[in-house]
Amino acid sequence: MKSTDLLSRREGVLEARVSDDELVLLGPESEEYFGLDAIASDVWERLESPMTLGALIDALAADYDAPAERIEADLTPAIAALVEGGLLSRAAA
Amino acid sequence: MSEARSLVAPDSVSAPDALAASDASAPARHRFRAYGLVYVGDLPAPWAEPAPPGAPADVCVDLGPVRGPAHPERLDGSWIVESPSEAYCDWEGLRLRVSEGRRIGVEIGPGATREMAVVQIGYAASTVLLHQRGAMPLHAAGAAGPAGGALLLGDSGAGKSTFATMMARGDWALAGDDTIALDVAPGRPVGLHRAMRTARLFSDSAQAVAEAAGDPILAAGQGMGKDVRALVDPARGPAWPAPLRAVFKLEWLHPADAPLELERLATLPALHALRGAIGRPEIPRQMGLDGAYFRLLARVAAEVPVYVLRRPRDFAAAEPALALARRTVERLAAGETP
Repeated sequence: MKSTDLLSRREGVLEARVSDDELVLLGPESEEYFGLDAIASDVWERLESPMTLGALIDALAADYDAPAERIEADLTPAIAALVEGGLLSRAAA
Repeated sequence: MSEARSLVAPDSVSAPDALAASDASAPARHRFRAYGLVYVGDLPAPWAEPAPPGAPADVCVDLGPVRGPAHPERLDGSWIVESPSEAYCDWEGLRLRVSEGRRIGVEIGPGATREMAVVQIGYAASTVLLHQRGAMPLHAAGAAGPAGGALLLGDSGAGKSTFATMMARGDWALAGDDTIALDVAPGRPVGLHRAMRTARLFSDSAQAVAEAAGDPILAAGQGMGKDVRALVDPARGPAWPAPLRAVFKLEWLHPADAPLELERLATLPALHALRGAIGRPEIPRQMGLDGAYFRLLARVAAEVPVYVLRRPRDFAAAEPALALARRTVERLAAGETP
């Protein structure tokens, strides 16, 4: 996954909040449910408008006051799972 | 169940209708309450409880010619959703049109009977009507007592109707045997509306229920699917909607002497179980309700414990399973963890 990849939400994803810090997503083509914690929910909400992976990392690093390398290491597998689950689409630049 | 009577018993809910009474020459219309709604119309509903006097009507049931669909070649007995507020069905001579979440038009054509119409209003037409209102009907059964209500999910053949009917003894009452509407109004706990006071059962189930309750066998109805016996429970039970305390997804266990299992589901599997119970899900999908229903179900899954209740497929095992379900509801109502 490259920092220039454009991430966007897939159409038809169902979402619902089940507690203050947990959001549940269900993709349009699967019956696999994803539970997102507070930080993952924040990522999902930021992706309401399409964004590159690099821009997302920079924004999270600034807001969470953490090194971009650390954010990238945590974020990349989560993004990959959401792409794999049919919730996000990733377009190579 | 000593007051049990057949679904085909003479209509017991016809009463002078305050809404129709303005025209003294008009025939009295039938008034009944189901799914938290007051119905007023041309057909009786022995499956429902009488509407409270003076309650305003939410739904009108009109007997007469029903306008057909725009594309009659598509008729195959399933519901045609013409728009989010119009749906039509033609089934074995019975024509039904449900409009704007508040009108059910019924035309009884050749081959159809009045009883078919009465039953279809209670089940299929009401399911469509509830979808038009965004009220999320569930393919489920339920019962409630003084401590609150239990919602029963399960695949076809999992024994929901029989279980709910057997729960509805003593100071418990049936909430419904096939289709349930929840009270999900914001700002108050999730509630269980009363859909029906009757249950349709296969004859072996009805026999077992009647024997367990010490009642004589109940009269058979006609044309209602299953094969079919109907129970009507007397006017008792809690105030409706009853607070929903627990959801039980019913499953069978093998062998017949296996011990009961009660497993609480985590939020995501609970949501999955509830979502699988949406009645006629193709209809809300066509109406664009998937997102709204997902949020409602997530609220239910977050507020109400959802369990899988596994019991042997044997009527002898029913009593301990019923006792476990009731005890669970009572403990949850008392703030305990079962």
